Amino acid sequence: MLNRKKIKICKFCENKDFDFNYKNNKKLRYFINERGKIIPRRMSGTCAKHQRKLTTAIKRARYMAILPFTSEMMR
Amino acid sequence: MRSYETTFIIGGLLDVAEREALIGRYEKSLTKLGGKFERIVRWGQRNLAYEIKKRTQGYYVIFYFKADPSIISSFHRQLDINENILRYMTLLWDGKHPEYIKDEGESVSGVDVPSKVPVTAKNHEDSEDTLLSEIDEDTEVPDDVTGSEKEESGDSSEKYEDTEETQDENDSKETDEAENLDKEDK
Repeated sequence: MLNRKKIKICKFCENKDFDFNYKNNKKLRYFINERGKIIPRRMSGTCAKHQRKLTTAIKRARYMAILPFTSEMMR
Repeated sequence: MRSYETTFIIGGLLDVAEREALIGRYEKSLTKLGGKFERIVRWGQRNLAYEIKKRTQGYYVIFYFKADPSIISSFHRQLDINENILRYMTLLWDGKHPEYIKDEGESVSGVDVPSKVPVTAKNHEDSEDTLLSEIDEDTEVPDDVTGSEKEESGDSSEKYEDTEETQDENDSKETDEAENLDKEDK
């Protein structure tokens, strides 16, 4: 729907060096929004395969308290 | 023999000596069970993303080792028993040492430190993380996110904000539309 105007290419398909490691705090933070939710594919433009890897990395990081579940948790 | 990595968080008001004793104890017990260490990383004291047992900070330790799969459950049981360990997670490890994992100081005898990773005295960057309060509202994913890790040093977030300024206008409209759609659904 929203991708009609501009075709986005998956950033990870272009550059295959990304490490989908749950410890990768700084890079993973770009893929959660200000409320701590994972950014959907239609907005970040990633392909399905990399979105799955990204999601498991974010969920593991959440378990190990590297990323939050929601941003309201620390208030 | 499979390669594993185990990350665990030490909470509790332990001073350095007690913490080292704890890590040494687990190192010995794992070696006794039949594991061979590749590396131990003391990732340092970090702010937790949320409170665990009323604690807001924890000391992260990562074990990289090879072991038979049958010993993992007894290793986990030993981690469970200790009340100072808040979380642990064991995963299969592909053998790579990420560059963003820097150690405060390695002291395992007989373990080779990989030459790529710089051993710094203290890495203060991660200990000052307060996460989402630092991120702007329009968190647009920059195109440089998947760039090489080596370029990253110090304030890498500023670098990402400066690149891709021309695309931000178009992108922000789309994110606004998406947020409006979400609100309507609610």
